[in-house]
Amino acid sequence: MNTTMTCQPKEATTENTITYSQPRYYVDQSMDDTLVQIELPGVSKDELNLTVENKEILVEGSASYKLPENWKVLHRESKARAYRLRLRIGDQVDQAAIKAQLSDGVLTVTLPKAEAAKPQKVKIT
Amino acid sequence: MKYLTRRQPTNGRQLWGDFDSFFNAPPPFLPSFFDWNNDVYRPAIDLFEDEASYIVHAEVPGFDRKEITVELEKDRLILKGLRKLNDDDESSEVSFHRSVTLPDAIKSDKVNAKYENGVLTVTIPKAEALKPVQIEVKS
Repeated sequence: MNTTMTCQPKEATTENTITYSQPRYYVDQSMDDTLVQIELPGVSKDELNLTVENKEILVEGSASYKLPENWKVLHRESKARAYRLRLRIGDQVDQAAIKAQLSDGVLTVTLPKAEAAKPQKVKIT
Repeated sequence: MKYLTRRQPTNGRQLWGDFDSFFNAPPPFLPSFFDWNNDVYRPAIDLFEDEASYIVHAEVPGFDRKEITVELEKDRLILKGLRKLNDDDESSEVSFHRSVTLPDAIKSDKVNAKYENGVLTVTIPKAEALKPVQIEVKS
């Protein structure tokens, strides 16, 4: 799925009748990588796209699941299962080595730090 | 793994309306203090019905199937989850606990639960409606 959007949506946006919302996500740092965990409940691997471009990652996913027509809604807290998240990753990520894994509705994106961005040990002479 | 930053706490926690008391009592005036606790997760829950069943959807991404328990206490469906996060130097846990009071009589022995892509689906068949019974008039 390609997009021409150039800015990150602050709130849900409507495009082609799909309403995207920004998923909840967490960021964790280690010496070698930055881990981003994005909650995408209801979306399967085939319904998910991750693109890396212009120092940004874009995650888009929307569940094809539709509620059966004869179901009556008694109470609803969930939003539509269509998610979009754009994150700036900057210069210090090795873009070619980005990895992503979807498990139990959570997409884990591993952003390895570029060699130049890793902490360097300086030899003392 | 430990979460250092929690940048978008938007999906679950903003819903102060307490579903647990949705059918019985008005929601509490103030949110429970529990909801402020970072480690208690408040999943979004939906309740549907069709002719034969009530269907509950709970969005609990990140939990493993084995970390979720589904209990039925009379007409109250209780959903619980506990996930232990082990870090190098400390361990913590994330949990949720929500209950749904079902609006009408159900068949508690035919409940079906499945977990897929972070969404828990519980299907609870309704008790069979009282069908009119015809009684033969004898001479």
